[in-house]
Amino acid sequence: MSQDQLTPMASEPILEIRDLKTHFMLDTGTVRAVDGIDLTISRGKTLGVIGESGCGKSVTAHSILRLIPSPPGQIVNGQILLYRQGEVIDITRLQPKEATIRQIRGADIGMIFQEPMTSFGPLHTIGNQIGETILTHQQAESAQSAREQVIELLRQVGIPNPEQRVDAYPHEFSGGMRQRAMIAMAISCSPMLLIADEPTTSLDVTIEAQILDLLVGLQEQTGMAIMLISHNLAVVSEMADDIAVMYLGKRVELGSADAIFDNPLHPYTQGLWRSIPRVDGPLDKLIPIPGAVPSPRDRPTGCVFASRCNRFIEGTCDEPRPVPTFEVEPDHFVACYLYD
Amino acid sequence: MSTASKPTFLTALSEHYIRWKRERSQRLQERLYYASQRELVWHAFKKHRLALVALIILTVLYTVSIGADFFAPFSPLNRFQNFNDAPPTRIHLITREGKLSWPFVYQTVRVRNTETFKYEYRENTTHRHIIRLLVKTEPYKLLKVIPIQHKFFGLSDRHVPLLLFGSDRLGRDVFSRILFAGRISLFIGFGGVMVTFILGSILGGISGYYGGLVDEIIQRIIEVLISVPNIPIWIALSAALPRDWGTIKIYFAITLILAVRGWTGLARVVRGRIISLREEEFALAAKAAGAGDWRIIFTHLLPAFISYLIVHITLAIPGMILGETALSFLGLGIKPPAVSWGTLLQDAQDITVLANYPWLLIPSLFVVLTILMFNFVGDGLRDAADPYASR
Amino acid sequence: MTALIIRRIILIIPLLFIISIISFIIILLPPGSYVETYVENLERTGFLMDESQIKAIYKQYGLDRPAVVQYILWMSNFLLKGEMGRSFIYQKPVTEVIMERLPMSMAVTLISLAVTWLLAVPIGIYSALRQYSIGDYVATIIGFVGLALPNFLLALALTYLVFAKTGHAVTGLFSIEYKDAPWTVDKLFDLLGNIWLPILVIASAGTASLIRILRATLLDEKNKQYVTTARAKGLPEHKLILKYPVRVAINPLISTIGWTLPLIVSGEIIVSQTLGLETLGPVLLSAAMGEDMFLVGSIVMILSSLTVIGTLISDILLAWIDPRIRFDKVSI
Repeated sequence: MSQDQLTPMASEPILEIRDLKTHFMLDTGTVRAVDGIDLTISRGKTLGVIGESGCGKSVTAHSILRLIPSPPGQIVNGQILLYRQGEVIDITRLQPKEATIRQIRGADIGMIFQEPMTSFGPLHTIGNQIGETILTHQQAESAQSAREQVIELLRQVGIPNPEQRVDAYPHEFSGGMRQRAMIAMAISCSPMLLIADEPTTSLDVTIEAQILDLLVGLQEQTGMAIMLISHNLAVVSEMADDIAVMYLGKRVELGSADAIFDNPLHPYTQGLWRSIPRVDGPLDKLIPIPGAVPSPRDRPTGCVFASRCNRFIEGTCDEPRPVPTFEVEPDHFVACYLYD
Repeated sequence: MSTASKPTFLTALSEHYIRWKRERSQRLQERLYYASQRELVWHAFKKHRLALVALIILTVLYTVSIGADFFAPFSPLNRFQNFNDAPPTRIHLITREGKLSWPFVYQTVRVRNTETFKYEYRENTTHRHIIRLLVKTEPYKLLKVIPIQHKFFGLSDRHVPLLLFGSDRLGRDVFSRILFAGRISLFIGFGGVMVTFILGSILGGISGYYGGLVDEIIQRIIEVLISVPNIPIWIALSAALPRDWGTIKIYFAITLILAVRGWTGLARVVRGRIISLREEEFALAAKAAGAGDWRIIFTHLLPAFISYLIVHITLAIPGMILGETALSFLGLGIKPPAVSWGTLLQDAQDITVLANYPWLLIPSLFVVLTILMFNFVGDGLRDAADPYASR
Repeated sequence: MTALIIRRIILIIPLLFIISIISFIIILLPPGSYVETYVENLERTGFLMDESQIKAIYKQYGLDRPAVVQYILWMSNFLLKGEMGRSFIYQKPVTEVIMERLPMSMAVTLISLAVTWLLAVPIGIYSALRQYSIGDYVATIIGFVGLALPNFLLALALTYLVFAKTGHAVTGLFSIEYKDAPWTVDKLFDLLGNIWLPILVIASAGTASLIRILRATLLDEKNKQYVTTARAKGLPEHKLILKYPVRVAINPLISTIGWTLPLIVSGEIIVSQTLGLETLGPVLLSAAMGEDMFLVGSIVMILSSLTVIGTLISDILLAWIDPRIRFDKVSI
C-alpha cells in the first residue's frame, strides 16, 4: 500500500499494524497478550481502541514504540509499518535499543501514559524533562532555546505561569497538571502520531473533559493523528473517527465511529453498549456482560468471546481455529460467525 | 493381619500404605486451610532449600559443640609434648602396598632439619594407626552427667597425635579446641539475643503503647545507640569489667555488653507494630473487656507478630557471634584458659605466625560458616514468615 | 532548606548530650577511683606520683565530689579548654594523645567511606541491570561472603595472601624508614602503597550491604513508569538509566551513611589493631587494656560525636540533592 494507491475513501495511512502478535514468555506459560491485530491509523485522524482491561490495548501501544520489556515480552509475528516522509519502516524489525527506533520515539510518535503521577522522574524539573526530548531530537537546539520552547509548550497545554512552572518539580504539580505537562512532552517534537494510552483514567471527570478538549484542540492545530486507547466508551465516542474494539488480544470489530455506535455487530460490542447508560436510551436497561474476561493463559481455542457470548453457536464458535473477519458493510469489519 | 498368609499380608500392607499416603496428603491439604501461622511458616520454610540445608548444618555445628566431650578426640587443654605448631596430620586411604584401607594415619615424628635448624614433622611409615569410630578412652562424663568411656572417633593408641587441623603453640589439638570453643561462641548469640529480645520487646512495647514522654526518651536513647559505633562502646565496656572475674561472670557480662545496642533495632520494630496494631479492633475489644495494659501487650499484641520477631532474632544472632569473636580476638572478651573462636584466632594475629602455621586460621572458617548459615536461615524464615510477600 | 538544616542541628544536640553522659559513665565504671588506678599503675611501672600532681588532678576534675559535679567539671573543661583529663599510659593530656591520631583516623574512615561507595555503586548498578547474569551472581556471592566475613578476618587473610605472594608484610601505614620522617612525596607514595589493603578491608563491611540495597532499589525503580516515559522520549538507554532510576536509587543510599559510618568507624578500630595502623583504634585498645579510663571515655565520646555529626552531614546532603525532601513535601 503506497501513496499513489490512495482512494478518496481511504485517507493516507501513517501507521499500519498487520497481524501483530505480542506474547509474554513467563515461567508459568506463554501469555498471548496481543494475538493477531490489524489496525490502520490515518493522517490527522483519531483511532479509538476500546476494550476491557487486559484485552491487549496497552500492549499494542507499547509494541508500536517497542517498549515491551524483553524478556519476557516478545513480538512474535506481524508488521508495524510507519509511513514517514516517503519511506516505510517496519518497526518490528528494529532492535529495541537502536538509533532508528529512538528517532521514532518522541519525534515521529509521541506517547502519553496512564499514570501522570509516576510518569515523571521525581528528581528533575518538569522543564528539564520536557526540554530533554527537544534536545535529544533536535541537536541544533541550545539549552536556552529549548527552555523557551518548553515554556511555549506549557502555555499551549494550558499551564498557568509557565515561566515559573518550568522550574517546578513533578511533586509540585497536581495530577491534571502533570498530565498536561505529559502532553506537552509528547507533542514537543511535533509528532505525526500521538498515542494516548488511557490518558484520563486516573483523573477526575472535570479534569478528564479538559484534557480531552486539549487533545482535540491540539489535533486541530497540528494535524497529528491520535491513537486513543481507553476502556471508557464515552471518552472514545467523543473523539474518535474510527473505532477498534479489542477482546482478549483480538480485534473483534473495526469501523467508523458512527457505524460502531449505530450498528454494533459483534455480540461483545453490543454487550458493551448495553452496559453503559446512553443519552438516547432507556436508563433502566443496563445489562452487564456476564462472566469475566478469561485469563489470557487459558484462552478459548475458537472464538475468544465464546465463553461469555449470548449468541454462542455450538459446533461453530468453539471450533479450534481463529475466527475470520467479515466486511459486513464498507469499512466495517467484524470477527464473528453470525455474519458469515 | 498376623494370621494372613504372606502375599495377602503384603497386599494389605501396600493397600494400607497407599490409603495412608492418600489420607496424609488430604490431611496436609486440609491442614493448610486451617493451618496456624506457625505451620504455614514451617511449610513455606521447608520449600526454601538453601535455608533448610543451612539449618541442618547449624544443627550439626551445635550438636558437635554441645557434645564436644564426645565428638572431640582430645580435651581442649590436652598437650602433645614436642608437637608444638604441628601441621594437620595427613589421613591416608591407600597403604604402601597400594591397597585401599579404612582411613589411617602414620605416627608423626619431629626431627630437626640440620641445615635450617628448624623442627620439621615427618611421617614414620612403619606402623599404620587406623582411625576408628567410637574408640575406647578413659571414662568421663558426657555433659558432666552421663558416664561414658568412648569418643566419637580416634586412634586406639591415645598417645599417637591425630591432629585434624594441626596443633597450636602449646601442642594442643586445634580441631578439639574449635569444637569446645563453639560452646561459647555459638551460645553467646543465644544469650545475647535473649537479652535483646527481652529488652527490645519490653522497651519497644512500652514506647509504642504509652507514647508521650516515655516514648520520646526511649526513642532518643535508641537514636544515640544506633548512631554510635559498636566496637568502641564494646571495648570501653569490656575494659570496665573487673580483672578478677571468672569465665562464667565474664561470659554473662559480654553477653550483656553485646546486647547493649542489639535491642534497639528490635525495639523500633516492636514499637512500630504496636502503634499500628494498637488502633486495631482486637486491642480495643480487649481494652473494652477490661484487660489490663500489660495483658494487652503480652497476650494480644506480641503474639500477633511473633514470627516477625523470630526472623529479626535469627538475623541478630550472627552479629552477636561476630561481636564476641571480635572482642575475644582483641583480648577483651573471653580469656584463656576458656576458649572461644575469637581467643583461638588470637594466636593467628601475628603475620609471621600466620605465614608459618596457616592452619591456625581454620577457626575463622567456622565463624564464617556459622554466620553465613544463620543468614540463609534468616532469609528463609523471612520469606516464609511473609508468605504473601511477592519478593 | 535553611530551616531544615537548623532543625536537624537542634535535634542533634540532645544526641551529643547523651553521648557525653554515656562516655562519662564509662570513665566512672571500673571499680576503684581513677587516681587509685593511676597511682597503682605508675608505681607498677616504677614511677612515683608527685603529691602535688595528684592534688591538681583531684581538684581539676573534682574526683572526691559527686558524679554529677565530676561530669560538669569534665564537660566544662572539655568545652572551655579542650581538656579531657590525663592519660597515665601515655603520660600526656588525653587531648594531645587523641589529636596525634585523630587526623589519620578520620582520613582512613572517610577514604573507606568513599571506597565503599566507589565499589558498591557500579557493582550494584551492574547487578541490577544485568539481573541473573554471571556478574550478578558473582556480586551476590561476594556480597554474602562479605556479610559473613568479619573484617579483621579478611584483614588477616589478605595480609597472609599478600605476604605469601610478595613477602611484603603489610603492617602499619608507613614503612619503617618513613615512620617518623617528615612529609615528603616519597612518604606519600609509601603511604599509598600501604593504605590500600586496610582501606579495602574496612570498606568491605559496608560494601556488601550497600550493593544489596542498591540492587533491590534499582530493580524496583527501573520498571517504573517514569523510566518507560523517558524511553518513549527516545533517550539513549544508558543515558536514561543513569539520569532517572539510578539517581532515584542512589538517594536512599545516602541515608544509609547513618549506619555505614558507625560500621566503618568500628571496622577501622579493629582493622587498625590487626594491621597496626597509626590511628585511634590501637590507642583505644591499649587504653582499655590498661584501664586508662579518661582516654577510653574521651575516645568513645570523640568517635561517637564525629559519627553522629557525619550522619547529620549526610542528612543535609540528601536534602540538598533530593527536591522532594528539600521542599519538605515528602518525609522519608
